[in-house]
Amino acid sequence: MRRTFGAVLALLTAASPAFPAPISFNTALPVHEGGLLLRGQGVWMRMHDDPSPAGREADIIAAPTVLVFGATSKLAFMGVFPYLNKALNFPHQAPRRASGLGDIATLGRYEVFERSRRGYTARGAVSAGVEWPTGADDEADALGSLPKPVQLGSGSFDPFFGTVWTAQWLNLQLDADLFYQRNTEANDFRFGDALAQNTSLQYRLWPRTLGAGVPSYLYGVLELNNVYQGKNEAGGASDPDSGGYQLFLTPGLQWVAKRAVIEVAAQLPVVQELNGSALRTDWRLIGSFRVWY
Amino acid sequence: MIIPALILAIASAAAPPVLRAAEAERPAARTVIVQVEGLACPFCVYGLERQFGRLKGVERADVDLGEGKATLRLKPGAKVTEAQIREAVRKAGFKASEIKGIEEAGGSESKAHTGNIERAGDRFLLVTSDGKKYLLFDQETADAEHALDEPTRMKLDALAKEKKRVTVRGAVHEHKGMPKGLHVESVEAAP
Repeated sequence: MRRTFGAVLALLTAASPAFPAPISFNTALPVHEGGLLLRGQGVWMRMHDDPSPAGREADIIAAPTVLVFGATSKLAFMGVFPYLNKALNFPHQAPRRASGLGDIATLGRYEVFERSRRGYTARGAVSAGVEWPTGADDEADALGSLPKPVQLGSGSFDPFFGTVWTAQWLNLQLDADLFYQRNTEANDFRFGDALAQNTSLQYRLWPRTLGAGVPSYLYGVLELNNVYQGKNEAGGASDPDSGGYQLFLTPGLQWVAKRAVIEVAAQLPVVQELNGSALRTDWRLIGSFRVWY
Repeated sequence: MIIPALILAIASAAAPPVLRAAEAERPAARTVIVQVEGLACPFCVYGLERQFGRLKGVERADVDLGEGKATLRLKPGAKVTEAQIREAVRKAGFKASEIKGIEEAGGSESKAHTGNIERAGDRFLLVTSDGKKYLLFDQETADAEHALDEPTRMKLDALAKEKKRVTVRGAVHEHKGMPKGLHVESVEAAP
């Protein structure tokens, strides 16, 4: 039962992006002082590739709402409030489901580097936060308690930290980050720690030449998402069918206006070196919007 | 509708070329142009406009993303200082590299300027040690000619003759084709 989708869980509730930049992770671009940014996101993750004969299939719908506040032009605070719907299906058996609020994450981001000139900026920031045990971790159905990865929350306080760097020109943008999440133990269970490295290239497809004023952009986006997650531990023993390495290629489109961003992307697995019979990901679809208040 | 447009076209074409060039170079009255470093995407512009909008004297802010330039239209009679503009840009997460038109907009701040007083016909200049020249005045007349009241004129005349270094405190005012104007608030012997 434990052989499911721990790596995905870490991705879901980790620091979801909210700034005007990559689709699946963060950026170092500034949030103006007193600025409030709302991001609504929908992610559908399909994992129907079971290397074991059990024939498991998992689907996760995640809808995180992200609020970002610019305390100063260098310091921003963010809250991630995920709504989750998880389903684990077995042949000839009722699905095991859970839906509701997941673990809320809060984090701060501080700009440590900035070089700018006309039409160009390069910035670096460090970020740290905590995932709080706000999601239910004791959901049960007729078969008993749900497996830990199907629970809405981990039950544990999980700190994370990392750094993100951005270079932005008028026609393209590069972002790269590195984040580590330390997952702690709760209810005699601990998800494996997660290390994520993401790189994104955004290229302005339209307009080809900039006119006067502030035209909206259509960016073509291509991301590479590396995720490594350690094995889960239950009762002091590691689960051989959990954790591993995944690399996703994420093409997407992003419409960027002065006050809003709308974007869609698909995360396609390129490499999945997962341990034992951990479920493989077929794809993930992401759609989201961001609005300034 | 064609005739007024035609008249307008003829009128503008008839303006002396030198004058038209000067007008093009100079910001329109009551506008300030801010060159912003680091502005490279539409979503970042919103924060900049919000910060400019929080300045009491700014009526409207128009950003040109490609040029990295913001044009601020000031409210009639309002005063916005260069420091306020730079702070607004900083709060948005950017840097103001150049601010044009702030002196015409009355946003120049009062500062101390040290140098020698020199006469230039009926007028008085403050010449600083680095060669900068400021036309001194303390009154603006109806025809926009700058003038000095009689006590100030007499005081400056005496200082010019004595060739003593003085400190003049006041706000600088841009003049195209002439030395900058310095609105005299006080004149004292330099320490």
